[in-house]
Amino acid sequence: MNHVLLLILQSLIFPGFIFVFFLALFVEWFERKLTGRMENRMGPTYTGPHGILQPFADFIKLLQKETIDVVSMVPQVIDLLIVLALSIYIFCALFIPYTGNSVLSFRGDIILVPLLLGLASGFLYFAGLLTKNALTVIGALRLLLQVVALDIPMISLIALPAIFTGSLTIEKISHIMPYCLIKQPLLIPVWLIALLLLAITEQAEIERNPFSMPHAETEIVAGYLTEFSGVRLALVNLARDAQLAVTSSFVASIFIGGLLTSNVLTAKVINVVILLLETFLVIFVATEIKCITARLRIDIALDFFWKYIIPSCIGLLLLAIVVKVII
Amino acid sequence: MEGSLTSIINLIFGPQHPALHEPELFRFKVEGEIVVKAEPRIGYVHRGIEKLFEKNTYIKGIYLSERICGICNVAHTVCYCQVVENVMNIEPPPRAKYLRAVVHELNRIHSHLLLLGVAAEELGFDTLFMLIWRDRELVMDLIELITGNRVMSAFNTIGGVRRDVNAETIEKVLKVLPKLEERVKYYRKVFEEDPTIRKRTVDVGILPRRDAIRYCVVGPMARGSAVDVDIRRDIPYAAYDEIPFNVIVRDECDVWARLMVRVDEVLESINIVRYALEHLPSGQIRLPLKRSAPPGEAISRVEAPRGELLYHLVSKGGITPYRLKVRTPTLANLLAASKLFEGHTIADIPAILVSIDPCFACTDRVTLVDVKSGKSTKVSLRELARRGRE
Repeated sequence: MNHVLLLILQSLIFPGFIFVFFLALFVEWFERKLTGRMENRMGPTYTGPHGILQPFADFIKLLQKETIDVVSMVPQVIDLLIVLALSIYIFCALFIPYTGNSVLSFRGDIILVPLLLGLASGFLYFAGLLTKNALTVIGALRLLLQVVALDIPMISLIALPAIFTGSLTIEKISHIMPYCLIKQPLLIPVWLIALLLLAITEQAEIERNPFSMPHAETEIVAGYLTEFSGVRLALVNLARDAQLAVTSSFVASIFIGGLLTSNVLTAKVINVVILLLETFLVIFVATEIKCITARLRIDIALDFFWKYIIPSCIGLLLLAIVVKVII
Repeated sequence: MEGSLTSIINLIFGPQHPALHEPELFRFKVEGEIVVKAEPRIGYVHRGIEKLFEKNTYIKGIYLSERICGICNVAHTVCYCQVVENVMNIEPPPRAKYLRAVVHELNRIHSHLLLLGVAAEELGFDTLFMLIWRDRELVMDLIELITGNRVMSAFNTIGGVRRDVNAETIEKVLKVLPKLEERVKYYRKVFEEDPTIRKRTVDVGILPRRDAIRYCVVGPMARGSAVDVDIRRDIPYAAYDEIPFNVIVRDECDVWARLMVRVDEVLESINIVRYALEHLPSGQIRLPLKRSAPPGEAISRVEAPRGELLYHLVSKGGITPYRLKVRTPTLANLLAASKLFEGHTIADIPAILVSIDPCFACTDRVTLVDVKSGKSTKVSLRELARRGRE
């Protein structure tokens, strides 16, 4: 009984809904502020200290706005898809060892989480496609093409920490990853190349420049998001912020890791701080790349992915296996 | 098989669209990501300015011509003042001619930097957009210093210019120019070397030299297609016959070439401003004001930032023009541009559009558009007069 109650509390508060909600809003503020500073602007300043409450204010404001239903779309299904996408991102957060221990953990969850993240993108794609507008359809098609090209490199990159550490559990990998690299220095060059490829792949996963084609502003207005308004837009924005937060935490926990294994409360708090700092580091790198590039064309991006990124990811995977066998 | 998989989508750009900074409509037929056909539909910002010229005196016309286009307002006033001077048979003093050239070039620098920033934004490169517009403030401050206002300067007047510069002002301007030059050289490097910008602009929207001549494109668009035209050199006006400068011509014929022409022209303009201020002749800045013009007819051509600008004035005596016709560069370029879209992807639309530096407010004056058929028809003066009577 106690166990069930704890699980409900965890999934509602930490690291579930409430935590992801505030983390997502904070991450949005962090990204907006960083982008602003990198672009020689101020970024949000008005609401709260340094504008930290701006995403929250935007969220509340959008909730008050009218939600417009366009003729010839299926609003219930769209709502369902958006809520599903948001809940999948929150569900994924339960697998990430913020305190050093994941709420849910089993052998193989390292494969499940990226698949769920892809699935949630797919739901947003369907929600966009259902609004039947020329712009949303083009945006949704672009997103689909991008997700298809992304899955192979993402999975093969995520397999690397599993190969390094010999474990398929996110929790375990996040504990032993750095020690594993120190013990086997031959793996470090492979790890560095993997980080480079990961930076590119994650950029496409979170749809930031140079891979922001699905919602390219100057081409197709807001892409698959064009027809969303009011509550629906608030939830989509929240889902996309949660995507950024959860994807970055996931990547940080398996590629950098270094969490303490102790079960003392102080150790848990330290773990939360460590993992969040690593998450912000990942977002910082992503924002930096976003700010120094122009948007690519979808055909150039797909070309780039299928011709260069996918072969190099698979090659890296083979290299990692060879190195591991030699060691 | 391919045809059954994809269907043609009507993609409508405008009148409100993030890629358009002025209301105008483009209808694109899109197959998958490929543009099959593009139809521009102009006329959203028609304000009847040419008719207004006929109602207003020559002096008021200066301020009216300035409002045809806010961005290249100096080019319009230079051209207007010249055409009126031609009809009145007066010649502005040399100092005024030099000052006109200075402000005209500062205006060109600001217009080109504005366009380059917008180009970066359309390509999704927001950082570059913000930085270029930050440095554009340098030249805006210079314009304010010399003319008294940042944008609508009202600097030129019939028979000269309205404000003089003193030694202190010249010194201040000459101090800022190297800073500006350094920044523009940096942006030149960015446009030349940045891989993402090159991927988006090189070999996109190719307008071969032959087509450029056939469609009569003007300005940077022609010079980006290896057509060596520049009114400042070919038919010198103001002080351009005395100022040495190079005409930038590139032969790549694509979007990238058109952007690079503009970057290089900014550097060239900085040199022109520097030379003109260092060799500024002394003397008066304007002739005594004449209110009325004798009967006659004249044209004036000016190299505006977007290309050749033409004013044609017919006077029947008195204090108001009988008829004033303005041909702006965007009208000349737009027809060629709508051909460029075909065969490119949706992502190339903003890139090609920005490379012609469209200024729709300039373009929309007497061309009438039939809304139902989408066809635009030019209306003759007599026809306009007849419609006016009805």
